[in-house]
Formats: sequence, C-alpha cells, structure tokens
Amino acid sequence: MITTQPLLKVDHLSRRFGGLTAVSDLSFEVNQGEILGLIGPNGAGKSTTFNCVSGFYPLSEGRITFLGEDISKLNTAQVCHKGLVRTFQHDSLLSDMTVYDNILIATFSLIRSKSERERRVQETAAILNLTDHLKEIAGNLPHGLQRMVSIAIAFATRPKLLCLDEPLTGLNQTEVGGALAIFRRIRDEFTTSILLVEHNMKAVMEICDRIVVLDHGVFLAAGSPQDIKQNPAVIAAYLGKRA
Amino acid sequence: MVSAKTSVVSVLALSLIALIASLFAGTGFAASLVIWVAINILLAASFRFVQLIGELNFALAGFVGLGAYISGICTAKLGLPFAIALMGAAVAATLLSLIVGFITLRTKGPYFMLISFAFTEVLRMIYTQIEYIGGNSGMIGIFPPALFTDYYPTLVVAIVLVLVLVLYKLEQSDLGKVLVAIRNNDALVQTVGINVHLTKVLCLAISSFVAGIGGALLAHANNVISPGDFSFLLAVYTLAYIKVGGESHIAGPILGAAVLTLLAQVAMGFGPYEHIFYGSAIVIAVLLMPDGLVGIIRKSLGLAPRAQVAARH
Repeated sequence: MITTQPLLKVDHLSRRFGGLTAVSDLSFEVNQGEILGLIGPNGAGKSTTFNCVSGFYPLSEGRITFLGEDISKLNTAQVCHKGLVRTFQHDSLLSDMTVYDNILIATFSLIRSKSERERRVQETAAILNLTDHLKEIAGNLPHGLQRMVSIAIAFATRPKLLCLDEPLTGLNQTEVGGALAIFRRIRDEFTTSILLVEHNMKAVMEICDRIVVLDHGVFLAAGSPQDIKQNPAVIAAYLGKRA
Repeated sequence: MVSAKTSVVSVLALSLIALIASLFAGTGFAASLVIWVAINILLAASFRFVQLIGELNFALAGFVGLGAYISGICTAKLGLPFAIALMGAAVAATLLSLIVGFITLRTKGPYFMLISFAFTEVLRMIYTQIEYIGGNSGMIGIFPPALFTDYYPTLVVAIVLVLVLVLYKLEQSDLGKVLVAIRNNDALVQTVGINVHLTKVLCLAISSFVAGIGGALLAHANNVISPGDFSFLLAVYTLAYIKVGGESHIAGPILGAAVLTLLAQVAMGFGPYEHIFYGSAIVIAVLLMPDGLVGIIRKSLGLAPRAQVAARH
C-alpha cells in the first residue's frame, strides 16, 4: 500500500518570526499512502510547519516539493489545487452555514458540474458519518461532529495529502476510535496520505506508519511508532529530562 | 411558515405596486421623494453586498460620487445620451473599484473600513480641485433624459428594482455562498482552493457597479451635484438604513431606506442637527432591535431569526 516515492518533501525548512526561530533546518518526507505523525511538545513548531507546508507562511529558508514540484512559493489556494489540503486546530468550519454548504464550498473551485458537486457532498458526508446532519447549522453541532465537518471540508477536495491539525482534540474515547477508522478508510479507499499533528499519543501510535518528532523547532527523531516510543531523546523531550 | 412561492409572489406584487405608484408621482416633491427612496434602497443594497464578505465599505460614497460626476460630464458637458452616461458611470465606478479593491482588500475589518473612508474623502477633495466639474460649487444642468422628463421616478424605480433583484439573485447563487463563507472564515475558504482576495475584489466591483448607477440616477434627479454630496456621511446614512431595516435579509435595507428616508423629511427641520437623527437611528436600532425591522417582522410571522450579515462588526 505504501510506496517509497515521496509525496511531500520538506528540505531544510526554516521559519523565523523576527528574532524567534520557530522551525529550524527541518527535513522530512511523506510517502504516498502513508499516515505520518508530526509530534512534539507545545511550541515545538508543528503548527508553523503546517502553515509553511500549506502555503500560509512563506519560508525563511528551505524548499518544499509536492509530487516533485516546488510548491515553496505557492499560496494556500494554489497548494490546494496541487492536491494538498489542511484543516485547522481552531475555527475549522463555517459556523453560520449548514453542514451541506460547508462541504459544498470545498467543491466550488474544483468541480464545475452541479450534479457532480452534489454527489461529492453526499459521498463525503457519508464517509464522515454526517449524512443525517447536512441540514443543520455547523456551529450548532456538538464538538465531535464539528471536528468531522472540518475534516469533511478538507476531504471534499479529494486531496492527495490531507494535513490534519489536532483533529482528535476534545473527542471522547468512542469518537477517537470512530475518527481513526475514518482516517484509515480515507487512506485505504482513496489512497490519500495523511500528515497528522496530534497530542493524543495513544491514537498517534495506533494509526501512524511513521512519526517525526520536533522539539523547540528542530528535528529530534523519526521512525516507526515502536522506535519513537523507545527513543530516549523523545522521552526526555516529553518528560523534561536530559537523554 | 412563508413558502418560497408566496415570497416570490409578494416581491413581484410589491414591485408592481412600486412601479405603478411611481407613475403617479408627477414631477414635484412626491416625485423627488420616490426617487430618493428608490436610490437610497439601491445604495443600501449595494453597501450590504460588501457586508456579505464582512466588510463595511465606506468607499460606497466615493463610487456613488464618481458615478454622479461621470454621468454629469457625459450628459451636461459632452451632450451624450443618458443611457451612455449611466453605463459610463457604472463602468468607471467598477474599474476604479477593481484597482482600489485589489490594493486595499488585503486588509480587513477596521483597517479596510478606515481605508475606504479615506478613499471617499480623497475623491471628494479631488472634485473640489477640478474647475471643469465646478470645483467646490459643483456641477449644474444635469437633467433627466427628455424622453422620461415626466416619468423619471418610474425609470429610477424600474432600474432600482432590476438591480436589487440582481443583487439578491447573486446572494442566493454559488458566488453568494462563497462570499458568506469568506465572512465566516476566510482562511478556511483559501484552503479549499478559492482565491479569497480576487473574490473579495469581485464583490466590491459588483457593489460599485450598482453604486455608480445609483450616483448617475441621483445626479440626474437632483440636477446639481457638489463634492459635499458625496462625503463619508452618505455611507453613514446608508449604514443607518441597513441597521434599522436589518442585515439578515435584503428586505432589510429596502425597509430601512424607505422608512428612514421618509422620516428624514421631518429631521430636515432640525437644520444642522439633522445628523443626530441618523446617529440616533443607528444607536436605537443596535440597542433595541438588533435584527432590525426584518427581525421584528420575522418574529411576528413566527420565523426563526437569521444569521446577521456583518458578524465581524
């Protein structure tokens, strides 16, 4: 299922805000069909990396290639058209609009046919278990369903790489299980790769094929969940001890 | 519940009544009143269209002024037909809005509001410096087309009805959904491949096209225009129409403009304190009826309140 050809390649990425270096000389790859976890303590630079990869922030240094094409200078909308879409940790939906319209908006720039758009909305809603909520105002839904709406918006574009920013935050155990099943289905049925930023370590260890760990904006470790679990540098970063 | 079919029939019936009533307006004060109400409705609908993306567009007054001056130059100075003057006004306002929007719509919220305010005032200052258009004194001799001398109110009402309907249809279209989505969460809209900046510029351009026509109709109704007619206060009055009428539906600016324009005839007796009337209207509307007259009507019909347009403000 996983091929070794890199889908996304981040090469020596650095991003500075004035005197603060949020990410420094970071390199990693996401392979096709892979679920890659990007983890690290608060302030590690995960969200900054997400913002750089998705075109929200310009890079201070480095290069990002997607399917072999340099996307370092593309804006967010252009990056989406290449097949890379992200969700947001907060403010991740159109809260005044119905769930149907939330998903529909995601199809406008990619699908011309009205019937095809309708089909895409229905199909996406079915995968995310939102079919019964399509007419409801998104902002009125419970937190767990709002999270699914935000993923549905991004997934409605049928990206090659779906970047999920803390999609499990605030979900209960059952909801987390359901979300992970959806992520697997998205990967298996649509060969969509997933770049996952998440603090729920149990879920990350369960679903990710590989994990990249950041600390204070620099690369700390990469490997399989088993490797990462036993990596002394990672344990030290999370528990605050010196390796 | 009010069905969609009932709503369409009601709108058509009201439009027909407005058109027929305008036929009997004559050429006196009643005619002027009909024209002012119609034009204010148009300007309020235009202002509200930019509110769909969450912005308060005080540049409206600038684009209305541009439309008025361009159409005035076309008919009074160059002797061109009214139709060309009307289109010239709309095109000029649209073109300028494309340039201004492209530069300024990277900002939003209070920043865009202040820039749009400054734009209006800069345009007004420029008018005062151009002798060809009468400088501070303004332009005179801008008359309605000869063919419509007696029925100018009907012509204005007909044009306003068409343009308001077009704005309403645009709001209901896919474009309208994108505009509302941008107001909700512009960052998210970008992530799904929509060029938010250009969409916002398009929104401003459509609004300015309408504002330009509004300016042309106003100039030919008043026969005289001066820079002072197109200060930021014009946009403040328009905001008052929307606040009083309600922002959640296009019927809001229509109701608000009609009610306030008629009541303003009383306020004119206040002399220099006239502005207190509009200021009070905004304050009272915001405090006592946040959904405006439309909200009160919806409540009386047992309908759920709709989401407000200008959530950001």
